[in-house]
Amino acid sequence: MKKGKIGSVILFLVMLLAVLVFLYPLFVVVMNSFKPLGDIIARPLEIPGILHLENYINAWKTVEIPRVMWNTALVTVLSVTGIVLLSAMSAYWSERHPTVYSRIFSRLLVLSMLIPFASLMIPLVQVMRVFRLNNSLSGAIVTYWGIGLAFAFFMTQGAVKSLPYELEEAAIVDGCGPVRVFWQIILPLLQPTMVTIFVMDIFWIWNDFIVPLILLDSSQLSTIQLAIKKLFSQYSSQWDLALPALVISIVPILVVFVLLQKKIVGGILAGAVKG
Amino acid sequence: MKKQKMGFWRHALFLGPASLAFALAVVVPFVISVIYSFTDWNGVANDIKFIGLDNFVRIFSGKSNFLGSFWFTLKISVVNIILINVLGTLLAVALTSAIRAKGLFRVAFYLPNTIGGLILGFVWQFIFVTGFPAIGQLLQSGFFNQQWLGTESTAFIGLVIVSVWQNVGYVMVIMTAALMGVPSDLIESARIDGASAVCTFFKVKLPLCMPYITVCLFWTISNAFKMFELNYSLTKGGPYGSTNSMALYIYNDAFANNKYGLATAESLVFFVIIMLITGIQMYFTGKKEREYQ
Repeated sequence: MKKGKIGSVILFLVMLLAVLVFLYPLFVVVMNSFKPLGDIIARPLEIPGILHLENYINAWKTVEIPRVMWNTALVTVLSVTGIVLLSAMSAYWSERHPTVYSRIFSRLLVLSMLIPFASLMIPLVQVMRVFRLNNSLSGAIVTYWGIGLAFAFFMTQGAVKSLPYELEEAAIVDGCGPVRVFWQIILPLLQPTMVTIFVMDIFWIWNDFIVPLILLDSSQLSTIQLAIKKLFSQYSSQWDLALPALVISIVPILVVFVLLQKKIVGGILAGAVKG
Repeated sequence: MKKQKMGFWRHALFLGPASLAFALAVVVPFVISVIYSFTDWNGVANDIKFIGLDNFVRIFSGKSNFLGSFWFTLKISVVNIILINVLGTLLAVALTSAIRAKGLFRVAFYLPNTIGGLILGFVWQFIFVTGFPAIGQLLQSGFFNQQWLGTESTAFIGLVIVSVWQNVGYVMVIMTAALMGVPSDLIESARIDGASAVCTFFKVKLPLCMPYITVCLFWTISNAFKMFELNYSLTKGGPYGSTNSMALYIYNDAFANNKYGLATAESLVFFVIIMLITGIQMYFTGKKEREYQ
């Protein structure tokens, strides 16, 4: 027993060292985000004497954080809500009322999971232009609905399969139409799966860069990823501006991560088993 | 159990919106992509000429350097996939043993995975450009004290470091769940039979974790081949185009070099490559899992 204890203390110390090395880059970035540029270049490893909060004020103004965050939040929430709803509707319907069409539809969805986004992005810009959806947040949102559908559809389909049909049958006998059955009986029962999809897709869309890059040209519509990219191409190596902007961009998603930790791990595992 | 007859409009109500979004974002662009790949369109001009297989000939004859980006992507994917899975599994093993603060360690190692690739690329740009030389001076080490993003081999290693750093947490989470699911009586009986810890790990635990290992491989492989953001922000494909991933190469040809026709052809080749890899993978992992059952 004694030997095992010493072993676990040594392992603990090794892991502690590993974590410190692992997180050191992020620590260096946070630390330097509070320093004037001269100090960042000359002494990047030193802990700042005084905290230069001006860096943050400058970054906040240059990147137009409130607008950019609003855009990102709007795109993320509307996209994810849409994905969850569309997948619940279509998965429920194709599972309970299969037709030739719904079979083709779900077959195409499987195939679409093999298509990398790079194989779609070039004509996608054209398609969105035809529908006047290029350079608008709605275009990005519809795109996320379309490419996020497949995975969410199969997660939800699995969940629908496990619901007992008797519940719906009872409701139908009582005179419930299909819309009410879906809305009042199915949706509440699908809630755990929907939460899982919601949580996982939030991270994907918040962090996604390529869809905004090709669909949102105007700086009015920049999401946080796009705004950071523009900042770096405009003010390269102006670290006293870039570093606080990076920190600001990381904080919201980190807060979500810490709050939703348990759900995220659950979501990854659920997704892994079904996907 | 008698099902209701459903009219057209009800089908349309439930499947219509999803079909529309899917068609708009996936089906139509993909079909157009196939058509464009046989043209010489530059993205702007009105006259589009069909040039048959010319684009594909250019890709495979090496006139377009897409094959170069394929080799780069293949090389870095192999290195990344091995390192991410091995290190992630090691972390999972360490963090399922009896040590303190497991939960905190897991959160810490998973953390980079929640941040976008673009942002991480910029974070590491700072570390490579400013942080590493300073560490090099501090430790008097030539390893840190070089132009990390300036030479082909170090830029490659740099990308590997960041990819592993970003993705190791995912494998750790999956493998932690896998290892915790191994029934303890099996491990006990292996131990009673005199199997060492290492032997138990390779002969008992790992085979039982096979379905989870499959998941990790799937995830790391498909992520590795679709690499884009990190190259975009950390190395911009440089130096001398040596770190262009396939996705970045396609993006540049289409949106920076105005070679739409060629780029769509490249994107189709990319699609076929991804499809082949997924197919091979499903074949092999299916076989492995059957063997262990």
